[in-house]
Parts: sequence; C-alpha cells; structure tokens
Amino acid sequence: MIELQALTKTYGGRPVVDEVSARFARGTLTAIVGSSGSGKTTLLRMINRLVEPTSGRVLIDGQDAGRIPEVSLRQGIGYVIQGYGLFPHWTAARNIGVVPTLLGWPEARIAARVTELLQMLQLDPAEIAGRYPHQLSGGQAQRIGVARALAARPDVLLMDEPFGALDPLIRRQAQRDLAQIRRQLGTTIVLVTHDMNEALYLGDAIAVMRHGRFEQFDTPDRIIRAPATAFVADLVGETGRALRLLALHPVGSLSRAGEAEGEPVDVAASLSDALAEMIWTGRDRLPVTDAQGQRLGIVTREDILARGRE
Amino acid sequence: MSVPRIDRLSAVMALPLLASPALTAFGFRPNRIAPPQPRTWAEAIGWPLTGALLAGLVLLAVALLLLRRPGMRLLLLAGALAALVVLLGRGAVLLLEQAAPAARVSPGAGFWLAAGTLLLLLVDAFARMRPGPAARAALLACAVAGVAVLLGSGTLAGLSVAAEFRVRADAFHRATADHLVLAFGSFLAALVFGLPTGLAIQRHPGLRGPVLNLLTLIQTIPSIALFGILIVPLAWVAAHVPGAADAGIKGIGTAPALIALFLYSLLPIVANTVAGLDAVPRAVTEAARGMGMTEARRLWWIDLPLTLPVILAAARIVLVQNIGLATVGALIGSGGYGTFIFQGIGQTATDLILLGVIPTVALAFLTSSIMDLLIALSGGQPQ
Repeated sequence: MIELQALTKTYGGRPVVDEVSARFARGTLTAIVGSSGSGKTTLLRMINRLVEPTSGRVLIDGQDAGRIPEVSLRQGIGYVIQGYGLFPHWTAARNIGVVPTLLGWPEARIAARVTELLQMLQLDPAEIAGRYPHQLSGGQAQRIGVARALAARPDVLLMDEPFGALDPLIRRQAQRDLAQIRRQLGTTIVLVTHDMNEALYLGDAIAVMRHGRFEQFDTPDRIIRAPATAFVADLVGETGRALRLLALHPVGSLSRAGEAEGEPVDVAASLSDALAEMIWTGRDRLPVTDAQGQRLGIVTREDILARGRE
Repeated sequence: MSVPRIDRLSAVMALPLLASPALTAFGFRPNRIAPPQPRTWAEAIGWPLTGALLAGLVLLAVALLLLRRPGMRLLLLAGALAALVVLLGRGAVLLLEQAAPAARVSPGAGFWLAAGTLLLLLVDAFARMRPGPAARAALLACAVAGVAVLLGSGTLAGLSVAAEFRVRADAFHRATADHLVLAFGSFLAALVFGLPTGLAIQRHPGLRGPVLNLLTLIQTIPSIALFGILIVPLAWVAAHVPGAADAGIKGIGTAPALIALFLYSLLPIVANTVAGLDAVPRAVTEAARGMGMTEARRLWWIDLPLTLPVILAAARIVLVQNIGLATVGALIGSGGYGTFIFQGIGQTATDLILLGVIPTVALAFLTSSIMDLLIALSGGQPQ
C-alpha cells in the first residue's frame, strides 16, 4: 500500500503538488489523470524520491520512504517512463537485467528472469534478447521498458505516460497487455496519464489532478457517474457517458441462465462490446463463454440497457 | 561494338603517372648543403632499367584503366609503389658510386609525382572496398610493416636523409623519446585533468561559461608566445621552490613545453566531454537514476560509455595537434624532432630538416589512423 500524507512540493514558493493525501491500495492500479503542469509527474517522482518532497511524507507499506536510502528505495520500485529511456549501448537482455544486476543476483538467475519476462510480454527471447534498443520497434521497446521495471519483482510499479510514444493501434494493444499481466502480478501500480480513456480502461481508482491537487479520487464508475467538479465532468465528456459506464463492467456481471444462438461473447469482454455485437449482428441475446470456450449462460439487451440507465 | 568502361579517376591520374619520368628523378649534390643538380632516371639507373620502368608505367596505366575490382587495384598499386621505391634506392646507390664521399642524393620531382599519384590511387582503391575496422587495421599493419621492412633492409640507405640519420642515430632516438613524452605525456595529463573537469562543469552549469572561455583564451595564444610566457614563472619556481630544480623544472626545457601542450590539450578534451555528456538522452539519465544506480555507477555504466566516441574524437585532435606543436618546443630546449628541423634551418641543410619533418608527419598520421580505428570500434564516426 502507498500512502501520501499532505505531500507537497514547491518550486520558488509556488506549490506544484499541494498537500495531497491519499491511499493507493495494495495490488490496485491507480491512474493519475491531468493536463501538463498539473503536478502529476512530480507527484509520481516523489514516490521514488527522484523529487524530494518539500513537506509531507510517502509511506510504502507503512514505511517512510524518506528514511529508506534513495538507491535501495528505487531498486525496490519499478519505473517506466515515456520514451522508455532504454540504455542504448546495452542489449535488451542487459537492459532488463539492470536492477537484478544492481541487487547482485547471480548471472544464471538474471538470465532465467529475463527469459521469463520476455515470454510473459510475448517477445521471443531468442530473437529479441540480443538486440540493441535501436533495433527494436516502438512496441517492442515499450515492452522491454516494462520488463526492465518488473525484473526484480517490485511491490510497487510507477508508470509515467508509458504509452505516450506509441501510435494509437499499438497503444491499444499495449494497454490490453498491461491490463492482462497486472492481474498475474499483484503489484501496486501508479500510472500517470493525460488520457482519461486510458485511465478509465486501466484504473481501479482514478485521481483527477489539477493545480497540484486531487479534484476527485474515486472509482472509474463514480468518476463517470458523479463527477465532483466541472473540470472532471469536462475530462470525462458529456456525451456517451452510458457507453463509458458499460465499458467498465464485464459481461460476467450480467450473465444469467438461458439459451442463445450464434457467436458467443467472452465473459471478460465489456458490456459495451457485447452491446455493439448485438447491434451489429441484429441479436438481442448472446451466449456467454469463458476463456476455455465453456458455455456459462447468456447476456440480454434489456439487462445491458438497464445497467446503462442506473 | 562494346567499349570497355574506362575508370575515370585512372584516366585523369594516368597523365601525371606517365609524365613523371620526364621530370627530374633525383637531386644530386656534391655535399650536403650545395644546391641540387638534376639527374634523370636514365642517368641514375641506366637505360635498360629505365626502359623497364617506362614499360611498367604504361602497362600499369592501361591495367588501371580497365581493372575495376578494388582488391586487384590495391595489390597492383602496392606492388608498383614498392617497385618504384626499390628503384629509387638503387638509383641513389648507383649515383653515389661514381661520386665523392660527401655527395648526397635525394628524390626529385619526378619521383614524388609518381609516388604521390600511386598513393592517391591506392587510397582510392582502398576506399572503394568500403573497409570495416578490421580491414583498416589490417591495411595499417601492412603499411607499417612495409615501411619497417623498407627501412630495415637498407634499400634506401643511399638517400641523403638516411645519411643524416646515420650520423645522428643516437640523437634521433633521444629525439623520438622526447617527442613521445611531450606529445603523449601532455595528452595523458590533460585527460586525467580534463575528464573530471568536463564532468564537473557539465553537472554544475554555472561553471561552464567561465571554464570554457578560459580554455578558449589559452587556445588562442600562439604556441611560441605561450612557451615564452611560461619561462618566467617556471624559472622563478626553479629558483625559489626547494626541490623543484632537482625535479627537472626549469624556465626552459621539457617542463614549459609539457605545460604548454597540456594547456592546449585541455579545451578539446573538456569541451568534448561536456558535449558528449550533454548528448546523453534525458530519458536515459532519468531511467538510470530511477533504477537505483548511484552517481558513480551511472558514470561508469551509462555516461562514460555513451560519451566515449566523442572523447576519443577529442583525443585524436589533441594527439595530432600535440605531435605537431611538440616540434616548436625544440626552440626552448625541450628536445624532440623539432631539434633537427631548427638545426637544419640554421645550417640550410634540407636533409636534416626532413629528418625532423618525416617522422613527425608519420607519427601524426599513424596516431590519427589508430584513433580513427578506435573511434570506429567504439561506435562513433571516424573523421
């Protein structure tokens, strides 16, 4: 768990982060959304002390981060930045293994961990491990950046606009991959983004930040349903709110017994995806299956529409 | 009818190559300071060998016009150059056989024209092979070995520069040692001092302007003036600081020359270190810190390796510059090849001047080539 206590950073008397207090629960992904200059990156960098707070504290699992030596604090926290910052003179494998190397892992263990991470991120170790950063595509480089951050199994992962440099198509895929791997990891993730859609898609909790303060810190559902300020409402957007809500919930939440014809929908797919499928194929009910293709029941149009009206 | 495509560079170069035998091949002097008298190839090596030379040159020109494979051209040209140099040595010996012991023979315009043309074509052939670092290292090794064999075999013993060398072999070896100490010693000192300085002013931007301006100012002082400026304080130090004179510090000699060369070396090394560190991407620095590297780790693992090509480029500039400037040090008694140059100028003895100039140029060329190789190996661009 990460706890911020009246965390403040001022530059020349002007507060960039202004007495922010919040708790990010263990194993959750908190997305901090804001425009540039809102203080979101500064806030993130105070967690691994790349920026020293002017006042206030960061507690990580109850321990004051300010009292842990900088270097060991950072070695225990994964860090992914926009542009990735891969070391250009090192191979992908050596980049990934940097924190384990700093921690003094034996070489065989590092090599095994690198292979494991590459496989988890769907990269072929034989092909990618020996490549230099300039030989990688944008999507590959991004994944190497994530693998490097995860290498030493950190309890906390900080991500600063991790998808900002990717083109839209690859960005969507990278977001899907992150959503998937984070369920296997149980890591507490703090992700900074300026993209509300990304935050809604990935976040268990969302903090909307403006002028160094949290305007609203809430679940995605509440952010859409009950924006606390005009600024939050503006970020979420007036139109399509019902569809956005539906996008937050999986088909499984409305699955019921019954029979239906045609192509089934996955239990983990969102309600908005199911609705789109109904509109497209002219059906009012879809069979629901799990990842193994096992039939679980059906989802109906009435149920989805009712959920959207709640 | 198909005409074989003619190599354009060869077509241009064939002209000086074929014209060269018409010029003076040798300069003959009754003694070492007399003005040279022209001697043709025929006068030196006789008509049969001259005929062979002429036929060889014509054949070579034709072969070059038609032959396009760079590897073949390279071998052919290397062979031709070697043959030309052997003929030069032979001619010198034959001319001296008929003359008084004080007589001297040196290469004339005709030889230089032919040799220069061959060398240009050789370099061109090599460039056309698009050589990698390994090939360049191999060629360099071959060239050094070739020159060593040539000098060791006594083929050129008849030439006047060799005669100057024979009388001064000991002085030459001392000069070589002095020159190396001056050029490389000052470079190493500048490296030891300049790298940390570059690092410091890159990390503390307030120092950047003053330090770089000061070093630029030093760079603008003419070398002879800087040597002169240093004489006064060093003489004072030698006279007043106990032990300084025993350590070899004097107003003239090696100490001021080393210090002057050291000062000249600082600007390229400091400026390139700063530029190289500036060029390390921000995201890379940020990531290195975020991963939990200490300052020292980051320096050794990230900053220095990424800056190495730029620092090597500075080292190349500094070494070539120092090898040249070290000759001037001879004026204040620091030794080195400059000694022969200034003695030669004083005695109007061209051969003696050449005895200083040739090794200086060869050393500079060799150093520059080796540094280029190192830069290429470190991932940078050779200049």
